[in-house]
Amino acid sequence: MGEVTMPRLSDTMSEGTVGRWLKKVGDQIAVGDIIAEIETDKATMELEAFEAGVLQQILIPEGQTVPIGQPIAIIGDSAAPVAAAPAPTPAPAAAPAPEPAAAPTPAPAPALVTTAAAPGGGDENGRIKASPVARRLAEELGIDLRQVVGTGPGGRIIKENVEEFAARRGTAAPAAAPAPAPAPAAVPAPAPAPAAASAPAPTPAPAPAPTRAPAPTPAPALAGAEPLSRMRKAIARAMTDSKPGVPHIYLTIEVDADALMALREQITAGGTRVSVNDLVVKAAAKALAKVPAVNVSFSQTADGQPGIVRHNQINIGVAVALDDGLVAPVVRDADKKSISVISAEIRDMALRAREGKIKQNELEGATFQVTNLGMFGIVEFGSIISVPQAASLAVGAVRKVPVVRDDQIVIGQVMNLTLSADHRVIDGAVGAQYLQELRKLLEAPMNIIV
Amino acid sequence: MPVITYRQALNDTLGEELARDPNVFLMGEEIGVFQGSYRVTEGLLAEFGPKRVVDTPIAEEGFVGVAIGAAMLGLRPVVEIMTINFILVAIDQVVNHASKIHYMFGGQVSVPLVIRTPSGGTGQLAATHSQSFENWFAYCPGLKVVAPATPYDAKGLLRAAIRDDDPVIFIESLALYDTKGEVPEDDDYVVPIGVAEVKRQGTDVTVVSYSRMTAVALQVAQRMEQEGISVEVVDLRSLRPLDRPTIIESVKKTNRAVVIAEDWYSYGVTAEIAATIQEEAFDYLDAPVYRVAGLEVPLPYAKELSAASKPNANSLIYAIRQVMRGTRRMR
Repeated sequence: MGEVTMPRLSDTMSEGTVGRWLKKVGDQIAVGDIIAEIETDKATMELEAFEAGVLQQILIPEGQTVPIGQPIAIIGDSAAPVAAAPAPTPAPAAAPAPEPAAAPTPAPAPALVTTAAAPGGGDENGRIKASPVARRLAEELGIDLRQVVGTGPGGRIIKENVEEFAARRGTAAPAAAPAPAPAPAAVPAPAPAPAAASAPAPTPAPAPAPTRAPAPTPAPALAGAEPLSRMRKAIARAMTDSKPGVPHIYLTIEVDADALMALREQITAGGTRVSVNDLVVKAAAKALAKVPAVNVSFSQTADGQPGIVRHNQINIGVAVALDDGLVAPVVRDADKKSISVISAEIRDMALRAREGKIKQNELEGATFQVTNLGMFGIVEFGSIISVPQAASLAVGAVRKVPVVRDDQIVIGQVMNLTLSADHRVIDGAVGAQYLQELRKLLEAPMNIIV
Repeated sequence: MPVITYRQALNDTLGEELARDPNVFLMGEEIGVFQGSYRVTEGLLAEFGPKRVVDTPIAEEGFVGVAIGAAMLGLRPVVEIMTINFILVAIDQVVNHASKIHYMFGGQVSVPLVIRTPSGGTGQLAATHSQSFENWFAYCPGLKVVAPATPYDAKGLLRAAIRDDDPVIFIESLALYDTKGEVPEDDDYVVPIGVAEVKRQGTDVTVVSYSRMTAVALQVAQRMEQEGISVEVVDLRSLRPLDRPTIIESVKKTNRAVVIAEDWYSYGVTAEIAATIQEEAFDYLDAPVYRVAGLEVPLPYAKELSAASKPNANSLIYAIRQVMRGTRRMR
C-alpha cells in the first residue's frame, strides 16, 4: 500500500491544488495511469500513478490546496478498507479561500469546525503533525492546531504557522503569554566579523550597517486582506527573489521602426500573421547570438562561490498577460527558428496559457525574456528580471513622431526598447552593445529574416 | 591586537609555558631537531635544550607511558602525537592508565598530561591518515578533550590544558595551522576547559561545531545572512566536559539546530549533541535536529572523492535549508 503525495512539479512550487480526480475510489490503477490533474502555481499537470493497485482512499477533495509532500490519496493492494477510516478532509481554515469573497469575511468561526473533521496537518490516524515548539505555543495561545495549516515538511505545523494564525485571528493572546518572538531591536549585534577586508569600500554616504539582507518581509496583517491566488503568490515570490537581490541596470534605446513596420505589412499582406513582438523576439534572439555575454545567468559554482553560466542555447521567454497574473512561455532556440514558427509557437502557447493548459516544461528554461506593453500605449518601461535569467527586454509602443530626415521634419515611427540587466554579470557597456546590435537588426529588418 | 597564526599561537604558548614552569617538558616524534612535522615546536629545542624538548623513537605506546609516569611523579609532559591516527597504538595507555589512575589510586596521584595532536582529513592523506578520533576520547570519563577553532582559543586552551592536573587531549587541525586571528600580547588569559562560546549571534538556526568545522560554520553563517537566514554559531571548544547549557540556551532561542563535525556520522560527536538537544530543549524545537558528518567510508585518496566524503560548507548550507523548510524565508 502506498501514499500518493502532492508532487513537486516545478522549482517554485510549494503547494498544489487537486484540480480533478480522474479515478474513483475502488478503481484499479496501473502504473502510469493518470489519476488526477494537479494545478501548480502556473500550470495544470497530470499526476501519474507510480504503483499499481486499487485506489483505496482519496484524502484531498477537488479544489483543495495542500503543501507538497502531503498525502492526497492511498493506493492499496485490494479494495479492502475503503469505507473503514473516514477520509480526513482538510480543516476549513486550511485552504486559501478559492474565490476572493466580496465582503472581507472574518476568520472562520471556530464553532464551524466540526469535531469530526480531521486536521489540515493530520495523517490518516488523525494525529496532527506539529513541531514541539508549535504545540507548546498553540497551547499557550489557546489555539486549536486542527485549524492551522502547516507549511513545514510533509505539512508539519511549525512555530511560524501558529504565530501567523494567531495574528490573523487577531485575538490577543492571554496577557501572560510570552511574546512569540523578541522584537528585532532586541537582537544582539552580530559578533565582530572576522575581517572586514572583503567589504566594499565605504561610500561617502553613511550607509547603514549591512545587517540583514533584504529578506522578503512578511507583510503586515491588515483587515480585509484576501489570500493571493497561487499564481500571484508565485509571481510575488519571484519578483522579490529578483528585486531585492539582483542589482538591476536599465538601458533604453530608441529604434526607428519605419522599415520594421513596412516589413510586417509585406508579410501580413502575403497572408502570414506576424506581430511586431514576434519580430522583436526573433531580433532579440539574433542579437543575443551576436552578443552572447548577455545570454548568461548569475549562479553558484560547485563549491558555493558566486559564478556565471554562459548558455549555449537561446531560449526566449515571452511574457503573456493573463486575467490574474502572467506567464512567460519559452520559445526555444529562437535564434534558429523562422519568424512564422516563432509567431505560431507564441500564439499557441499564449492561448493555452490563458486556458490554463500550458505545460510546466513550456514555462521553464528561458535564458532571456521579452515583455511588451506597447499595445497599452506604454512608451517605455523597465522590467524586472526573472531569476536566473540575467536580462529582460521591455518593448514600448511603436508610435508616430516628428523626425528629422534629410533636414526635413517628417512623420516617422519609433519604438523604445529598455534592457534590464543583472549588473553582477552584465555591465552597462555590454548591455549597450547588445541594444546597438538589436537596433541594427530592427532598422534593417531583412537581416532578422535571413 | 596582533594577528598571528594558529600555529604561532601554539608555538608561543609552548615556549611561554616551558619558561614559566620548569616541570613542563615536551616529548614527541621529530619535535626537536626537525622542529616538528607541522613546525609547531619550531625553535624550542634551541631555546630550551634536549632535556625540555625530547625527540622520541617511533613508539607511541612507549613514550605515552613514559609521559604518564613522569606526570604521576610531578612533571607536566606535553606530548605531541604526529596525527591522531597514530595514537591508536597508545590507546591502552591513554584509556586504561592516564584516565583512570587518579580514580584508582584514590586521588593520591594525578596525571597532569597533555597530548597534542591534529585530527581530521586534509590534503589527500587518505584512509589511515585522515581520521577523527576525538570522540573516542571524549567518550572516556577521566579524560578532558578540547578542540580550539581560533588562534585565541588555541592559546587560552593550551595554557589551561598544561596547567590542569588531569590528562587533556588537545585536538588541533592541519587545516587550521595557517589560519589567522587576533591574540592579545602580554596577557596571561586562560580559556576555561568545558566552556563553549557563541562565536556568532543569530536568530533563525543554531549551528553547533568545533575545531575546523567552526571556521566553516562562520563562513556559512556569513553567506546565509545574504539569504536572510540568521545563523548562530556555537563553538564547543571542549568536547569533555561538554558545555550543554550554552547549546541548550541557543537552541531555545532559535528553535532549530544543525550539528556539524568531521567524524563519521553514526556514533559520532553529532549524535551526542543531537541527543542532548532533544533531551533538554524538546519543547523548543521547530524542526528535527539535522546532523552533518563524514560519509561512513575509509577516506578515499582521490581528490574529488575525498572532498565528497567530508562535510563542508555546501553540506552545511543544505542542512540549514532543510531545517528552515516551510518557514517564510524558504516558502
